[in-house]
Amino acid sequence: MKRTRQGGEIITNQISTLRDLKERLQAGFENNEESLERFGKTYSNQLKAYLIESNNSSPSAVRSPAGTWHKLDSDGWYVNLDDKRPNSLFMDSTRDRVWVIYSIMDAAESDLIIENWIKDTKGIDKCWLSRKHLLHWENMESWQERGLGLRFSDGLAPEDDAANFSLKAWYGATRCLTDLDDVIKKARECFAIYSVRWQKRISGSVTISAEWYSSGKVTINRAVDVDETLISIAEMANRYEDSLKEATKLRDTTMGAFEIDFGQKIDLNAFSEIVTKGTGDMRLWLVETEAQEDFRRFRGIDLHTWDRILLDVGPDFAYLTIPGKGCVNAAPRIAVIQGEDNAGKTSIFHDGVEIFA
Amino acid sequence: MLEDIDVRRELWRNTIQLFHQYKRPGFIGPFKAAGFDEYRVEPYVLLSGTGVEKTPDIIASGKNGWLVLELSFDKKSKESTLNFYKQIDPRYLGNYNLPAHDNPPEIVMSRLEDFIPDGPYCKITVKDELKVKDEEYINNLTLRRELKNASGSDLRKLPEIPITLLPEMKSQEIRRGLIELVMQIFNPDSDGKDPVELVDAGLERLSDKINIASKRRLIKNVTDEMDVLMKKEYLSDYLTIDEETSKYKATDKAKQHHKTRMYIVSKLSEWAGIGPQTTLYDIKKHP
Repeated sequence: MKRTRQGGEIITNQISTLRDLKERLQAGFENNEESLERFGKTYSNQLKAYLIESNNSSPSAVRSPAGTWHKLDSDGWYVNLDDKRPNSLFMDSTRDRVWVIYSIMDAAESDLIIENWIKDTKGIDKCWLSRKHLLHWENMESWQERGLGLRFSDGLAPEDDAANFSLKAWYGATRCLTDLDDVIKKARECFAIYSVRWQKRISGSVTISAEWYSSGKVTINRAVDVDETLISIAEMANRYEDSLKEATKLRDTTMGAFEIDFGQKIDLNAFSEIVTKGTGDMRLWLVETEAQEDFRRFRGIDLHTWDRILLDVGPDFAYLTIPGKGCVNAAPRIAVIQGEDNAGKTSIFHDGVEIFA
Repeated sequence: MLEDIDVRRELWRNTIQLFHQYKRPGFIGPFKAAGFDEYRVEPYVLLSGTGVEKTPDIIASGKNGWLVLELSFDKKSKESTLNFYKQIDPRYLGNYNLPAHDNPPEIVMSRLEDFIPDGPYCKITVKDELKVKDEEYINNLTLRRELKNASGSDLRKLPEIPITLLPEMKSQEIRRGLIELVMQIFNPDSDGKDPVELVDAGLERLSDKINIASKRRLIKNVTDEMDVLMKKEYLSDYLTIDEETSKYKATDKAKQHHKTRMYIVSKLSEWAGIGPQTTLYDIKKHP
């Protein structure tokens, strides 16, 4: 790997091995630690990773989000080659169902490219992280929660009557406002968590500072060791893949439904209106087949994959049945989007046992 | 409200869900509560000694025993069929990855509404609420207790099951079972579906367990209902059939637009006898 130095930052010219990639990422971490120490802020683009739920056999079956994929020396790892943004995206496709795309682009550009790529590519989706996934590090040694974002847009209510709520609170090692803890505790029991900031500290020093989002993205705000960082991201990918495989097995071996429980009551009429049109972020296109005052039955299509779904909805719960080989990622997607838009804190169960957890 | 035309699916749905548990509004099926956790639909088995072939509707097994469940609309007694099930060789449980036992199975007869004299066996009905009769014929005391406790449970809001078509469904039942399969045809990447594909998808895990004659009848009935759907009063502008491949396909007029989707939904609802969508706005101006 050739290296040049520009303004104090080491630039890698061509990445062709996994080691090249790690060196490039490590250099970025070190540049940021150095500038943080000297100037109090970071200058290199922070590492971002996007967990991608895939029904494809390999990345070569789908186009790259920018340019084309080229294999690295290690099986399942790819780099993008592109006139405008070469060596800016990296793919870890070593798992069957969950790929990880690493990005060192600017956040706004990177988010847009990945968003459009998912929208336009058949057989892939985001990994929709449940509350339990987002709080995965809660009881793990050395990890501390340093903030969280809560969101409830009350999207089914008319604009003037909507009970919107959003809160993003970052806190340090010592909580300055002790009363804030109570507010956050109450709010997180009512509303959906869309991001959590985690910090790993060893001997008083920060080794990883990361913000995980419910859409399966993570931003690494600070990091010291590339392997430690990549492993922490891979841990979430493994966990999500385990959840997908467990849910797929349940779909195939039982006829029980996935149960999605909501923290807020939803407006069944408004829900019905949106899904009948096939619009909205949930991208469900459904026919209402039975209506009681507090219960509706729908059947139709999950427009992400065009798989069939049967959805029975009560005021604070939904039963999701996925016939045939339909993608089980519909369960966490509906839970996360419905939670943040309309339903507050959301959990998924099968036979009374929490899954995607 | 659910109408009588959905009776077959209701019988299957409300019986199958007795093996499951839901937190809201709160339901634990008696078979689940008794530990009969694993079940298989329409397993092929042989009777002990005689080798007579049988395919009961459901076999379930758990730590404490095993169970054969028969579902029926037939007004005639099923006593002779149930007598045969008593002789199923339990060693076949292993072939279906179910916990094995060496005792005869418990037998339960499930019907939608009316109890029929089905012999010395436990009987349940599952229309709207669970009713249990003759539970004293159940030897497994846990199962007997759970069935008794669950009697009277509200079954009206239990989830749908993935099987959407069943043999012997009547016209309107078939139409309802086809709704989302027809919607899939409007996928821009779809190359259409023929009647066999529709039936296989609707039968889901029962697809390879239904006898050929029943399946052929169902395919014929599905073809008849699809012919109606493609008439002028329904979706003739949006759905066509490729005469060469016999596949139903979307026409060029079927655009990915919410007004088109609303129109298709309204016509599918009309065709399936569901009536207007409860919150559907004016759809006169469909594209």
